[in-house]
Amino acid sequence: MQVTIKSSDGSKHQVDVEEADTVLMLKTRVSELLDNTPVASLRLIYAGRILKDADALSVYKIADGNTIHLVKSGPKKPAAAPAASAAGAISDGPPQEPTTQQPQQQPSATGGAGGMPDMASLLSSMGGMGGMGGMGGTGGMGGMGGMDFMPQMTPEMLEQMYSNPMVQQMMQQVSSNPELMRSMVESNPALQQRLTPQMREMLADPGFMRMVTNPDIMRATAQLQAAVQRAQGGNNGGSSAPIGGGGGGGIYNPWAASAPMASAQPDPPAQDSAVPPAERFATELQQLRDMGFFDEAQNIRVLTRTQGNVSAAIEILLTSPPSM
Amino acid sequence: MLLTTRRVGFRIQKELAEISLDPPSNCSAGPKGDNLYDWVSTIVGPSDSPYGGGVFFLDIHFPQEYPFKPPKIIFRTRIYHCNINSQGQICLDILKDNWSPALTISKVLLSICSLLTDPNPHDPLVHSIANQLMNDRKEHDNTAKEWTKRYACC
Repeated sequence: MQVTIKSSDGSKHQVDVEEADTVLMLKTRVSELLDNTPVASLRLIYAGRILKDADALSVYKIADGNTIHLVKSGPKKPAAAPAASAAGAISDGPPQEPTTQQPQQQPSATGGAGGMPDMASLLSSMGGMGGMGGMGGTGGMGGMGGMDFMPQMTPEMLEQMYSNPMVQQMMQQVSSNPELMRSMVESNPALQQRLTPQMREMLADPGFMRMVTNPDIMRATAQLQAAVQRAQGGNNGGSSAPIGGGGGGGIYNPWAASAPMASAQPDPPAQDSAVPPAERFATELQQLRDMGFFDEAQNIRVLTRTQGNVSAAIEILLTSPPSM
Repeated sequence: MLLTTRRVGFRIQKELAEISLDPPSNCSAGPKGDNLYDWVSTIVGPSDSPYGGGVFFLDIHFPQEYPFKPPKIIFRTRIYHCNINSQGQICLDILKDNWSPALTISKVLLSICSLLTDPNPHDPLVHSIANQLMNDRKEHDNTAKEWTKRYACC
């Protein structure tokens, strides 16, 4: 497997390792990469822990593609302070300072964090195929933007994604095997909650799958969505739903409470006040129940108030004191 | 009133995947054990601060209501800082009133990093350190460096 070693100065190194390798072995490799920096001055950090030399990497559940932080400690003082004796462990601190604690060297600035995530992490943050379903079926990408895990897809990003060989391969697999898509969706409980029956039908429809996996159509969809969003002055919403079919209901936008909801609403039941709320908001009530809001009367009250907007209802339910 | 654990777990798992693949420059975090709600984290002291070279350990606890409620974060390593007290509690607006569900643990850790570089003496948790910071920056930085050496360099 391959891991990334990220120094505190921002430089990155790819290292091939085995799970059974010890931390010391990894440090030796890293030391070679860094002009033989003494192994003793290297500290590796992963997932909130300092890695101990004798442990195997598997102890820390380090997996392929993970990033391990590297901090160099050395006999030299940080750049901010005048250099002390370079050779010894004696610092220029007070004499009672424990000599075992060497001053650290931190080569350079903290550097910018993040930057453009690579495609792998983008994909994983999209929830893999779950993201696809949302994109094709509902134009839900816009709405999901607030979730922070669903980057707003611009046509350029989409282009980039579809030109990624990994994605292409995945697409091929999925398009040749609709079962795979369904099992991916069904193995993801959070996604499952958001699926409406219509969306399930769509996922089972080979025509839809062909469409989702066809880069040209997706590109066109994204462009259309961008255009519509521009036209709407950036409103979130399932405006591209006509292309994917009217399955917009499943993926709701938790932060859309303040946005005009007409276009994002799956079905416009609000107008029909003759139907009792319990029936009118049957799907929404089910969604709330699925999410653990069991107080039926309160759910109905809140849904009536929000005109069936589940996300707004959740906000109210979460901020109001528990009624039991 | 709880969201189902499945849903919260999903969000935390996403963040875990994100931070394992592409962590911020000087922060790392991951679950303490099998419990997805309790994490440990490290922050490497920014080199342009008196905490440079230190490795600070933090505990992170995600409440059941996450991401609608902020995570609880405390310093496990002692630090001389006017916004962090001896219990390790952190005075940071986004961990309290200014929390937003759009924030992630990566972003919070980055904010803590920048708090290390730029302490906020006008909203202090430890008044004596804040006073010293405003009146005698040099002495403050010396003490902070000394503490970093003593507690945060292993």
